[in-house]
Amino acid sequence: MDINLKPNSIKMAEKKAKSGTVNGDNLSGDVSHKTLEFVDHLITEEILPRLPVKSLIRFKLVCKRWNSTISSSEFVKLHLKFSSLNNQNRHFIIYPDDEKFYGKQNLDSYGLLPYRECSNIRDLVWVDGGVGDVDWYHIVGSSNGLVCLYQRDDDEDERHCFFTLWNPATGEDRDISSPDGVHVSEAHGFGYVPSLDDYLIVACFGSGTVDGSTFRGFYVFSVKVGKWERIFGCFHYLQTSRWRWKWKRVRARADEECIAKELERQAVLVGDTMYWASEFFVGKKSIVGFHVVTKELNWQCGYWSLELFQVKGCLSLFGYRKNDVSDFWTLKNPNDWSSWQKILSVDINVVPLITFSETGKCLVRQSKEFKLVDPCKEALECTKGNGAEFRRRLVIRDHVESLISPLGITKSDEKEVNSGNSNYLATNSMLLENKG
Amino acid sequence: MASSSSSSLSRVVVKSSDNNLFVVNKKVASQSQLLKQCIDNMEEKGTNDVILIPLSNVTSNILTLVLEYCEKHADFADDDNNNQELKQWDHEFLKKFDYATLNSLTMAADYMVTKSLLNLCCQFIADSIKDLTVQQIRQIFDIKNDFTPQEEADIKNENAWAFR
Repeated sequence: MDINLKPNSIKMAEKKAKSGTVNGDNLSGDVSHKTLEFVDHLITEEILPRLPVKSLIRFKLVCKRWNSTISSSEFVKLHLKFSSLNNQNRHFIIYPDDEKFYGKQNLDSYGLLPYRECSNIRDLVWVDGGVGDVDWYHIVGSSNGLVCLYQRDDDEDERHCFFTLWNPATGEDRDISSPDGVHVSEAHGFGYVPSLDDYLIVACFGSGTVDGSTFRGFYVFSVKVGKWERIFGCFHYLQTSRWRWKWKRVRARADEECIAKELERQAVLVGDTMYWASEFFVGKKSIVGFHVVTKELNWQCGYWSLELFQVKGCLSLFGYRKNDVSDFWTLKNPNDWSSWQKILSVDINVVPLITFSETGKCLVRQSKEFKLVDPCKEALECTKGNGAEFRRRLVIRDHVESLISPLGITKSDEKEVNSGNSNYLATNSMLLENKG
Repeated sequence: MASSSSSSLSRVVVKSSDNNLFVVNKKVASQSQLLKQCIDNMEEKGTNDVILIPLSNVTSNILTLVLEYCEKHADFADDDNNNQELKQWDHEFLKKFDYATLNSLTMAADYMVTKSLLNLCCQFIADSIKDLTVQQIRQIFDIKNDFTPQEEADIKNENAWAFR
């Protein structure tokens, strides 16, 4: 064998060796070692971020260094990144509106169904918290471990409506009252907006479909800023004739109200845009988009009936056609409405489809079993049963376990800002932000 | 020399910290970014000689394990990551090690920049420590408790539910 020792490669290897502060003795493989002797960066950047939230909260007690690491916002973001990639931390959060779904009477708590190829109704975990003692509530959205709820409590004189931001994993929650305390929100959405690095609630207050209150406008709540802002958006709509499509710009105030009245309750956030299904033309569903950065409303029509999803970062819709066949479409390019692509067609009277996950998989239910099916690989028709009976009554969202605080800023952040501590995870989280 | 003038190496020799030599197929070595970079550097220079890469931090027994892992994964390199057989193999591979070996293997994976092995080890460690008590964690990571009883009580109070 011709062994040629090249100084360059050795230099590189040695340089590498120095950059990690590895002590050669630790690598002896001596079986008498009872402890794990890792360099700090392996613990803080590779091992701790892979732990479940409950373990991390307990491990704050290990020592001061672990406590400050786990509490730092950089770590919270890093943990979220790992958590999103690990299906063990992924769930579906279910709002129980139908006891038939669970075979259980008590419907006062939310259920978490693990994201697994196969699971059983017994695997549902009930979570306490989040819900106050109110008359009525539902899930607005779920993003990065934060769940946004809308709750309504009526007393003799008036109706109290408020939003709640809740992290089921840490148990932290926070109520957010409506702008002037009295308005009812009829259509709303919640999510993380990467370009603003902020969590937003967009709500359309007093659209007047239930209690006859007048339209009060679109509002945006920023978790970072901590308050509501009235949005006077301008809006455009796509006029479709048989021959051409053209954008028309319309006076905001007058038409905003017309649009607001027709919005369906829940919006889906994709990128910087909150999308609602709506029925602006009788018998024909449209999609209304509200761009949270430019504050523009856009709408697009042409479907009979539809439900919206965010799947793999794309706006997707599930629309019904005649004969109970439904199509699932995905918008490949958010700026090009001709990039709608049909993913599948399915008859929900035959296939027990529950929902589409953000990961692109479909959740189906057969009797007491749940299955995740990749519609691109397996034919959905292999699963038999009636999905329609469950789907109509269910609010179900993807949910990833995280340490993100509904308060927007963690206690340790305040301390760090005050003491001016430099942070060893800063580079990591910056990379993350750039990616986002 | 002329016959192999494609300026690509087929094998490299890796030397462990205790001076044992391992002849490694290029495809296997490429699983480690550290080794791959060494090879790429040499290929850029157009050398056809077999190169020796000394790893001053990795002992023979650990290097054997890393290479066993790389060999298996090189076989599946063109396959997608979701290969069930490979996942099963990974699991069996790690299951047999004690903490000390796992410790060394993780650090070797970090040092040799074998990201998938590092991920595998760290996830395995995380899974095995997640249900331990705080006291057990301190023991395993050899950490001293530097909280005052008051500070300890404060943290416990803030997150009471997690300590139940």
